[in-house]
Amino acid sequence: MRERLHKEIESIAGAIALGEATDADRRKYREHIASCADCLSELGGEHEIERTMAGVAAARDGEVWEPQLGNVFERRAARPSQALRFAAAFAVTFAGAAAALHFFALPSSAPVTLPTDGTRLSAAVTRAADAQGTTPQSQRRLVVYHNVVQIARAPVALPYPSRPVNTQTGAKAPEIAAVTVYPQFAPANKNRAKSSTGPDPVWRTVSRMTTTALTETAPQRVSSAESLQLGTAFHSGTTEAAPLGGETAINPQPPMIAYAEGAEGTTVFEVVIDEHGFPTKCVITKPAGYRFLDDAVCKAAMKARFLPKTIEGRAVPGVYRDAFTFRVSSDASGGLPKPIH
Amino acid sequence: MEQVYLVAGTSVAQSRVEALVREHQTKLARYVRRMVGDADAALDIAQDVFFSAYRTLQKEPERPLTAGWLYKTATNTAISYLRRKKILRFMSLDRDHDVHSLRIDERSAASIDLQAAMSRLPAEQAAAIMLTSYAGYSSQEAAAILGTSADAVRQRVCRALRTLRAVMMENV
Repeated sequence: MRERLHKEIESIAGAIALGEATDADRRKYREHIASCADCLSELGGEHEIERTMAGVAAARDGEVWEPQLGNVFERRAARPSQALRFAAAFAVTFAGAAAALHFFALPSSAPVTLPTDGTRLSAAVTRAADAQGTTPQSQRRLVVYHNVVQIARAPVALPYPSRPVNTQTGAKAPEIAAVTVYPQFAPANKNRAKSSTGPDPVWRTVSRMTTTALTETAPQRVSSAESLQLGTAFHSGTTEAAPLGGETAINPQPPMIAYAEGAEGTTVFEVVIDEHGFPTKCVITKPAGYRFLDDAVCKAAMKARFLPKTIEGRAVPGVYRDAFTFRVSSDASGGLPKPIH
Repeated sequence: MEQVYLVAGTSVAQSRVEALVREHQTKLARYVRRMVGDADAALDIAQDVFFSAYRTLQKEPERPLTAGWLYKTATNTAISYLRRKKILRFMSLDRDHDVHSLRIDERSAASIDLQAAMSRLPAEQAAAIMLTSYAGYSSQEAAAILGTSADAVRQRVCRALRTLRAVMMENV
């Protein structure tokens, strides 16, 4: 009996999902989930179902893949036999190993230290795509690097000075290894050398094949501060894991006790991102001194969605590193600490 | 006489298949790609589908081939591909046909969520939800394609929805 009722409810939920449900169906569903905790938690209300389906529709509408089939009037060459595939798998493995060796044999470029004054260089991929699409240079083959800042945001109490950035561009270098830098996300800096690679004011291309793309030295007073500084080496064809939705994607919400305690501190954490962009694990590498601050950060990080790390366009598991500093603010709000972005 | 008929049949079949390819290749290949999670395999399967449409029309030039026929063939091919892949993965031979081949411009949160859910769904549920929400068929039409009842399609959609919601809510 219960089994049959649930089959019917499933059918109704499916109808709701497909937009085929009648009013009577919907009423019946509402009555059912009012008394069935399992269905409510697994499926949710009508709006939950519709929201889930809206996710599917969003994925469908976001498709840009325009496949072009070849000649469909001839049978394709038969798939390679399993023995061949086995051999191919071996070949791929060895090629990968050789590539890795080659990769490590390359002289590594100087790590790029990105500014920590609260301005993040992280450019949302959509914006990156927009910039590419609207520029006259869109014919160029560009590897767009997502400039993930693997650096702590500086504490508010330490105003971060503007620092000179040396830009050297290599005109002869192959464009395949170009790095796109988005000045609108970079700190306002009068000293920065003007770009000479393109007329476009919004973005410019810096190649790393001849020399380092960006070099800057952090002042002493900041390295003595609590901020973590990790270099982001630009590797050809590799993008690091980054949160989707930009810098506000991770939004820690400390519990009320943090306000009562007046808790301050910097939490440095790492999130392991799987190849689909899901955070699988959050590790605190430097605790803030208050367990609830660390927990709030990890909880927020596990809620976010990420772009997976990619190597040559292929998503692989990666690690995203970031830090949050909590400070008691001195404004009239009663000294409530706020997460600093 | 027979030769003349064959030539005529071939050209009619060719033009009809060409029209089918023009009209359906994008949607069909996207549908298959979501099913199998691999763009290359999806292209192969779509190609196979149109080729078998061509062979069918060569034999019976008058046979009406609808989009439903294409989706039915594609679904069956995709399901058998998934089964084969499962065996291959079990034997750990198939290293380079993994689920990572979404293009970089489609890595939206929705797309990633959907693909993560799809890779966990049984093939019947995947086909049900893709036929309805991706290919745009009603539950009756999808039932005709899958050879079941409309109620069964809705139940499969509902079960797929559970997984999908669990994926979306996973880390919340």
